[in-house]
Amino acid sequence: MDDAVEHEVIVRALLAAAGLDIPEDEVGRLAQMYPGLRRSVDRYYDVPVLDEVTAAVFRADDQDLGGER
Amino acid sequence: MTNPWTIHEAAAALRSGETTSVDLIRDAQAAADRLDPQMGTWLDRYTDQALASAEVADVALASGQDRGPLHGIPLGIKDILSTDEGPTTAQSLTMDPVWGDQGDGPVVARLRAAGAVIMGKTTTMEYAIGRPDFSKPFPVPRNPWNLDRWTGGSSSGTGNGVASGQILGGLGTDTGGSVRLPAAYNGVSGHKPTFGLVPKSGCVPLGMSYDHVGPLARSAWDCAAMLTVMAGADVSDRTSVQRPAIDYARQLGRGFEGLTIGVLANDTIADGTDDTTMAVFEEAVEAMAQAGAAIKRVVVPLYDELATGAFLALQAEAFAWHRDRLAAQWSGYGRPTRLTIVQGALINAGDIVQIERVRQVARRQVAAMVAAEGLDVLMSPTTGYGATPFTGGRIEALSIRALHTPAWNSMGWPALSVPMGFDADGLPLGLQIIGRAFCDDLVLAVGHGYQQLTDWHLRKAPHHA
Repeated sequence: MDDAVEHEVIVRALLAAAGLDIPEDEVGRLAQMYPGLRRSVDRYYDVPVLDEVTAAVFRADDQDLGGER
Repeated sequence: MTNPWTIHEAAAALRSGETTSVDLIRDAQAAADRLDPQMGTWLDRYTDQALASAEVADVALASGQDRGPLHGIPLGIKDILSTDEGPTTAQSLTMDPVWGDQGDGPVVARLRAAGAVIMGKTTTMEYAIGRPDFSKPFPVPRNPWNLDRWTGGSSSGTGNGVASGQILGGLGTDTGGSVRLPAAYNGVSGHKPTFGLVPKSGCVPLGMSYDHVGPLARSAWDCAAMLTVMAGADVSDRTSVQRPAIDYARQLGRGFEGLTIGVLANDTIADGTDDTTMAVFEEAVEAMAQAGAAIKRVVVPLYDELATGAFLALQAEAFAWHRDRLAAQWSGYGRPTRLTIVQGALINAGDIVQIERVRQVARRQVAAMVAAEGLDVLMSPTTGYGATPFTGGRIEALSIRALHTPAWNSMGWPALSVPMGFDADGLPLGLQIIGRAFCDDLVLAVGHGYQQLTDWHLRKAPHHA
């Protein structure tokens, strides 16, 4: 499978998983954009990040939720 | 008297008896009657309600009830923020009109309580994202310096409304630069506050952890007066933070002596900025150095990751809000809007976690660099180029690399754009001043100090009231 076809297959699968059925020309446009988008995202895995760094700060004692006594 | 040029001037004229709020509103409405068909500033105008509010403001002021510098002042509200007077469209055919039934969000309510007169809802890009869209039944906002040029987005109508003299100030929202970009392109001032300083409930979300509500007005002083009223936590927004109340307009007189400015020396800034803009920017920096500021050239760590991450993560956050609407009403969205938001479906959960983890690392590294260098503020051009034409135009000027704003949405730090001159086509250029978290007072003071050295913010566009 060449890259362009593979990208279109991936995009179709991801759109379907999100419940989206969109016009063919726009699937094609997204398939063209997909490699660039993927490259942009993959750069973030090259940045050293300590294991304990989380995406969101979760606190079990969040006072707004009444969790603190 | 001639029409007041700034909120500061109008506030003085109201108190000296040179004008009334009703006069200000009538003049603003006459300006809108004349200019809006060309400018595309308004989605809805609250003509009768605004005049009624102005009459109340005049009676209150005459009886000694002075609510401060916004009392009786005409403001516009980006139509992504809910108000009592009417629905919020987000400039989309897909927006549920019931959403706007919540009435004034906390920031609009605070402005109204401070005596401001709400003139109506200003144009935006659909859902504060995308590009000018001539295929939809909404006005396309145009630049008062050249009607063939864009205003920048997405707080487009507030930006061109201030620049064309239809309002003295207004609200915008900024997820990747949407207050600062129209400020720069239209030759006015616009402030993105520290994340959490201003509650954002009552705002149709785009990227929930990148969205900021901020003021646009002619001067830094005017933005400071608006921010004084807008700031403060509200229970409706759990990301808002209670801080000691500050009268920002009273904190502006520090000058440049003892100030250390970090000028961004990242390659991305140079690569995304044309020679004219860079020369104008260097003149602005030199003016502040001459006034006593120390200048350091600094490279912001992980700058590209912060900037790109804002766009990637906001697409994911936007997709979370829009997914079911997109599935049900795909063709109701404008093509640029839907093709931008749907990219959030093409990024997986692990990707978003990693982007946000890098964001945490970058925030720490930038804060450490600023502390180690002893910097008070950072500076860059707001954009690399002046406003782009609707068709054609240089491809590099249309690139997101030409926008020097989104990194500061990732940081959550305050950033102000003030006019700094013009490009070769006579279009305004913006100077971006960035500060540490909750140092909005210092950022605004530096902007005000620059506006005491220059008069770029007082230049009049060709299409003006």
